[in-house]
Order: sequence, then C-alpha cells, then structure tokens
Amino acid sequence: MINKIYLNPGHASKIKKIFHANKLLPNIKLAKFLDVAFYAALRKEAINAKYSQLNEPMKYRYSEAKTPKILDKFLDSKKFKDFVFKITGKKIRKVNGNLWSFGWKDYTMLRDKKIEKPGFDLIIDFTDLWNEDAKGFVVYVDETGQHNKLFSIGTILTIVQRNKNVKRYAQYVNNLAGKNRRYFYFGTF
Amino acid sequence: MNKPTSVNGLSKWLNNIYLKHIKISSLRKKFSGNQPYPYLELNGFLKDLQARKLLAALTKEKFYMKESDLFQFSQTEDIAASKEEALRAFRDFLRSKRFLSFMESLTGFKLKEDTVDLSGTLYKNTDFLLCHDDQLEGRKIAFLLYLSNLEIEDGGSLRLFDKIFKSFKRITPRFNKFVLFEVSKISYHKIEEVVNDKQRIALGGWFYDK
Repeated sequence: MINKIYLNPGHASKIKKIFHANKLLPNIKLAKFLDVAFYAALRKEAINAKYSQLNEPMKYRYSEAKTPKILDKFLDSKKFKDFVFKITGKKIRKVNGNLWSFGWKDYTMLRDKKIEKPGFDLIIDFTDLWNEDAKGFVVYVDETGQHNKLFSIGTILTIVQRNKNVKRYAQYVNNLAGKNRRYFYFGTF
Repeated sequence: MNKPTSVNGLSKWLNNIYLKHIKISSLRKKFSGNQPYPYLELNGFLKDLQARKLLAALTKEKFYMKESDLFQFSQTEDIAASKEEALRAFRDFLRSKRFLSFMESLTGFKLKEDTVDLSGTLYKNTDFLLCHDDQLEGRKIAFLLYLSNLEIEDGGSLRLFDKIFKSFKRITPRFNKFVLFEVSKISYHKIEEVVNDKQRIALGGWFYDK
C-alpha cells in the first residue's frame, strides 16, 4: 500500500531529517506516498463519500464525511504506524479524523479561544485538479505569527507537528475554484 | 440668516438633503428602529464634487495587501499619515465637533471627541472579508463611504447578519453612499467576495464611544 520507495530503509533517516528541519513547525510532504492502485481506490471512496455541510459562519464552512473503512484500516496498520514513528518519533495509538471537502466559499478560521493541545496533523490529499490561486490550503500559524501555507494536491501525504501555540486554518476558497472541490483526509494523533 | 448651529460648517461637505432637521430626525428614528442592530445607508451623502475629489486622492494612495484567515484585501495606512490634502481634510471633517455632533444626532450615541479611524480599502477579484463583529475596545460606530459602483452579481456587498447568522440586509456599493452601523457583540457582518474584475473602493473606519 505504501509506495516502495518510501520503504527503503536508507530513506527513513533522510525523511526524518527533513521533517525536523523546521524547528518551529516540523513537517514533511511526501508525494506519491501510496502505490497507484491503492491511492486510486482511496480516492474513489473519498470522492463518493456521503458529505454533510458544516456551517458556523464565525468558525467554518466546509463538508465532512466519515473515514472510509479501507482508509481507517490502513491508518491502523502496523506498517503505517511504524513508518510514521521512524519519521516523527511519535508512537501512534490511533489517528482520529474525517474526510474533508472544500469548494467555493468554504473556509475554517483560527479560533483564538480554543487552543489545541500540541500534537500531530496528518493530511492525505485526493485533489487531482486544483488552481493554486483558488486557495483552500491549510495554513499553520507558528508562535512567531508566521503563516506557513502547506501546498498540497493529490497523492501527497503531509505530517505536521503542532507545538504549543501553533494554530491552523484552511484558506477561504475563492471563485477561481469554479465547480472544482478539494478532497482530503484530515486526522490528528 | 444664520443656519442652525448643528448645520453650520457641514454644508461644505454634506449633500443639502442631510442638513435639514426634519431629515435628521427621521433618519434617527430609522437608525434606532432598524433591527436586530441599528444601521443606516445614506445615498449621495457628500456633495458630488467632494466625493470625486476623495476618489481622485485615494487612487494616488499606496494600498497594502492584507491576508489572514478572516480576510483578503488591500488597505492604505491610516489617512492621518496621508500626504493627500483632500483625504486629510476629510478626516479632519469627520472628527470635527460639528460632524461628530451630526453623528450623535443621527444615532443618539455620545462619541469620543476629535477621534476617528479612517483608511482606504480596495477589494479586487477574489478579495473578501468573512463574518465578524468588529468589536474592539471603544468602537461604537463602523462606517463606510463607497467610492465605486458594483452590482449584486459583482460581489463586494456588505451583508448584515442576525444572532443566528441569517442575513437580514445586503448593501451593494454605490458611489457616494455612506453606511453606518452600531458596533456591538451582535453586529455580525461580512463583505462578499468580489468575483470579477470590478473594484470595490471605499473609505471606512470607526467612531469611538465617549
């Protein structure tokens, strides 16, 4: 299920080094993380999932669906957990998350009153065609106030370590998106 | 014959229809009667020539792109720092005793003397301001003077929301329209995304509680 190039023992230490290079916001983006057939199966499930729109104007507007069983099983597999441990040093008990879908006018805001506990975010992107200018990417604001946009499209696995005082939001999707939508799994551990 | 005190000095800037006591009185009723929070929209607010001078001056200002989770648009620095005489004169007018007294007559609020925040804003295609309440210590009235024309389908309208975030008012930018509303914990509003190459140009800011 994981692309063989990422299972090469020599690569893990290089990836770990890249992950920890940003001290304020350790993160890594791995393109083509999954093998082609498994990614295609997951993407089909993600796009056809039953989404419900969440809309609290002062906080967010986007659509969410339950994680498909096939993805839950993969995230709970020893192989995946071991891989993440090698990079982050964090033992995963369980990844908690959902499928998210963003179209025109969707967003999430920083919520000043809700400080999240430090932890890790995991994003698997299923968006094939996306105009970067339409926005809709997840942005992390570190303790210095610096905004770090994490560009992501289909096949990319992103892992981010949120230290104390790091907050995140998903950029407002503008009219350049047209009828296209972003699809991704968003989980924390 | 002398004009009544509250009108003295206003006539250089304001359209004559807003200088009549009977008009001010009816607008005050309208302002306080608008629910769930008081607002007013005043078409053709300034004398046309003054509004045109402001637009000409504002186009010479430097706009800075601003972006966060809540907004994306361009804004000038506070007009207090502007080199454009017409803009500084307008700011001086807004914070003058005679204009603050006029605003107090319209709203029934007591406003802080000699004080106004004023800047220019420019919304281009994809710019927006999401729902928020404007609350910051001391802010009492939010205001906007539109200096461009947009239609509903262009975006850029001001939307006012009630407590359950149902929109109860949409105000579309028209040149020389002045909009004001009370800032409170329920003054939820947003500016719709501009969705084409038209530009929403405005001067805006806040008056403060005395």
